[in-house]
Amino acid sequence: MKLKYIFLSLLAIVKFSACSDDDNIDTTKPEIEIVTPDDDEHFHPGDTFELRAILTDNEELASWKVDIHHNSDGHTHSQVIRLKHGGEHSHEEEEWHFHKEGSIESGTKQYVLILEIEIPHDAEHGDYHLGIYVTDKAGNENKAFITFEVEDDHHEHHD
Amino acid sequence: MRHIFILMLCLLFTLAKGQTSYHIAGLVLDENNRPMPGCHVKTESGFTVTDANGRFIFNQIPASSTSINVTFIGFQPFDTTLIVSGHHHLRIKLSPEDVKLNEVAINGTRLNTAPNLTRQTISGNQLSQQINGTLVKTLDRQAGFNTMDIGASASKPVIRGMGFNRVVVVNNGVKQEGQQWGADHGLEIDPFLSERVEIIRGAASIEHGSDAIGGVLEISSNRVPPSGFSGSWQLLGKSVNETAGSSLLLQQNNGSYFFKGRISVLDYGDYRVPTDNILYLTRRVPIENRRLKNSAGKEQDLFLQGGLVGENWRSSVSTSRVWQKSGFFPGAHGIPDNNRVKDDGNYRNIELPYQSVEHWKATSNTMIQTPHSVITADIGYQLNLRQEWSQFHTHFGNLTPPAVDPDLELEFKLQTLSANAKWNFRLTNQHTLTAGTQWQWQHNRTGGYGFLLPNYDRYTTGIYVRHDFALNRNWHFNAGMRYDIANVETEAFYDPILYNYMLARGVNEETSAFYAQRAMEVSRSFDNISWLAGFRYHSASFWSLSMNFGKSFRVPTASELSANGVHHGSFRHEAGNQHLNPEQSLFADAQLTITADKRKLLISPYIYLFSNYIFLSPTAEWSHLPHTGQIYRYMESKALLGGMEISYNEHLSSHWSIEINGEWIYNRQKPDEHVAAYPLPFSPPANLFTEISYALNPAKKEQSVQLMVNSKAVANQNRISRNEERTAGYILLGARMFIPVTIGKLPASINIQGHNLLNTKYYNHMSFYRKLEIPEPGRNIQVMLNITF
Repeated sequence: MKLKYIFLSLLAIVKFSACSDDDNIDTTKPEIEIVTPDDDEHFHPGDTFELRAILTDNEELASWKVDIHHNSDGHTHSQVIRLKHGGEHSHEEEEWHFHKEGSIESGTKQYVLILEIEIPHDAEHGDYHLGIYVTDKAGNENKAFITFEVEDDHHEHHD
Repeated sequence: MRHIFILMLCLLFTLAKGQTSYHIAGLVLDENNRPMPGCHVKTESGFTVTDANGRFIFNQIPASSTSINVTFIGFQPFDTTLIVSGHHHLRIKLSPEDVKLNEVAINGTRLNTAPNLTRQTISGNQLSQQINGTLVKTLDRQAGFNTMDIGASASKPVIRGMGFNRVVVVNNGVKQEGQQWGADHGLEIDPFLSERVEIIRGAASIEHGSDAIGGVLEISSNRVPPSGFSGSWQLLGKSVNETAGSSLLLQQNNGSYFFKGRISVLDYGDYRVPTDNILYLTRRVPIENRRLKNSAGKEQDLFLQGGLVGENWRSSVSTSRVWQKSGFFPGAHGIPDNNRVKDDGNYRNIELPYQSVEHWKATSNTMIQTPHSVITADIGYQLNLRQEWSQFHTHFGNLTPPAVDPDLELEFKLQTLSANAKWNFRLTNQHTLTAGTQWQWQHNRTGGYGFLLPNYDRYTTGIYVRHDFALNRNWHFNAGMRYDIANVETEAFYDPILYNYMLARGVNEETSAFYAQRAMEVSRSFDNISWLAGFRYHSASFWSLSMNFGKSFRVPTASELSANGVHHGSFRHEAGNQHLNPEQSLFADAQLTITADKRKLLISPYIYLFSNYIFLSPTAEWSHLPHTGQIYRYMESKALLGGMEISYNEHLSSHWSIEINGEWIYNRQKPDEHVAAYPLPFSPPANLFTEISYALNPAKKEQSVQLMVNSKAVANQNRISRNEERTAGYILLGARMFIPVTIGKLPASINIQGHNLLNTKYYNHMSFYRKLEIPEPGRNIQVMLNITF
């Protein structure tokens, strides 16, 4: 019987110590809300769109990064498709890549990121991924992704 | 270091010189020349029990005649009278009274080679009864042992909250390689093969050197088979991924030589998960028909062993090949894309991306036994060939696919040569000295269009001594020391394609060059002294206590030293640090064992103080590489890790028994001006395993029908490091049934198991799929038929 009591009291100790809180460490990620553009929106080469995102953190935001790249470097395009692309489309089309980063003034808990982004005239058409990355002061990171399509000028616009 | 060694030798010599009379040293063996620990040995001048290697010794025997009497339950006693006119060295062979009882008795007094360590032995019988996917997963119920899982078919061991290179896996005396790679693949060991597994919880640096910080998993399939021809055949079926598996063992023992061969085959489909979709990078990814696409796989294993058994020695040569091919969930590679996770109408196909793993091993194990000494020598060669196949893709638009094997993304070819030798010398009943050396050479070459690990060469050499001292029946002390030298050389890897790609994107030359240097040339030499001191106290009544203090270490890995780039499994930019030092930790642990008639309670608290825990720390720098966010750098930090394991067993009545295993771990970095007191990554939450067993016919012991109901309760894990996810707790229910039968005239058993009976949706905090929010496998019912002949 004695053993059972020892066992139970040990469990109680474990439970108690497991619940003790840590001294002010921040493991909460910042949050990202992408306002514009919508997911799966369509654009044409030469268009300009506004990227607007609301970044919030429980403690303090630190920095952001925006990365736009063509879906061809995802894991879907095989060698064959790439060659076909290269063959069918003239060489003036360039895979468009956009990269921008910035830091956020210290002490900020909420930051509205606004970027006017111009799609180059020679941007290769297709699906693009837009990713927003945010860190807070403690080093917690969050990211959000949307997809948009860049289509030919003479293409029908289907909304 | 040297002084202590000399001191030890002096001590031994004085002890040896002090003899004015003679000593009688003996070795007790069974009919198969296997040493018998735990035999009672009586002479006129005293009484002793044989040690783990079947040895006993009597000093101070005056020159006259003395009788010797050796007894062991189930064996015919041995009696003789010696005329003592000098030192005597005896080999005593006991004959069993009944062959069946002999097997049971041997299992009952399992060797305990390092009595002070917290050790747990699981026999081949238990393993095959509890088999659950992989060998490592089967052990998950043990206190202090956790698994990092990758779906239903691969797991890595975690002991005391430490995994990867902080745990050593030893297979047939040689350190198994393959742990150093990412969390997305498991241990390459045939789940049917192991004849005995021992889990050492706590640092075991003296005998195992670098990496043995959290503990050691010792797997052996080196047992000499019973006389004559025998074998077994297993058939396994699982519902969660429609596994069909089978394993055949054939063995022959002709007294002086033996052979063993095993072939195992496993084939499984996509596994079931209790969810309709997962959340990956803020996207909902559907899991069609609740089956994780492309998680199917197959495994084919072969094992051959031949051995010779002499009067005083045993030697065997073993070769094995483990081959696995298993798919990766395509939704977990790259940016989420729903097209890739559409049901393809086939649950058993393995499409790209997948991994193929081949592990070849050849080992030679030799043991020489005399009344004073046990000498072991192990030599091993291993080849780890690991390939990841994924349709050719590039993160840098200008890369062209290779002409040969265009879809081979990563290939690692690691060759390892190991050699160990150990000499255990029992001088008196009180003093035993062990000296040993370990040597290892590694040569890693890589291939594929991706890049992850650099080419590297690594040498390690270690020497150690240990002294065991039994003061009396109650007090035992031990102390040991080890010196290691390690040399790591990594090859530089410069990626001109990446350089041009960065330049084309408008990045300046200096930064482009930094990114293009995917691995730095690093040449480092390390040396390290580790030590251990401990005691064990056996009270005359119902309890015993052991405590250990020591220092353990591990040599930094090639990627920790030199990596620079995206780790394609984690999608993080990981940067190595060529100035890292060997990770070192002081530790203390204790084990209190209380045995009261039908109850046994074990409590093992432990604490580690790391002077430089090496881990990937998130930084405030953004990586310029596509698909990546912040850069993670390998850093060193002071850290504290502590915890406790509790196990409790009770035979409630002749029919009922209960087993409870609990574990709790706490860890954190030591805060300084740079870093707050963050918990360490991959920490197992507190957990409790309970199993209640019912034996239908207790008189038949292991041959009775048995029913078991078990549960695993896991607490919330809210103590997370940065960029980890909090993981909710869960309770799983399971059940087992063991039914001995006879098929024809052959003894057999049917073993039915249910895991996750309520089909609970839960996450394993340490699993590779955790951050993708892919839950662990759902309900699984499995049946195993085991026929022995």
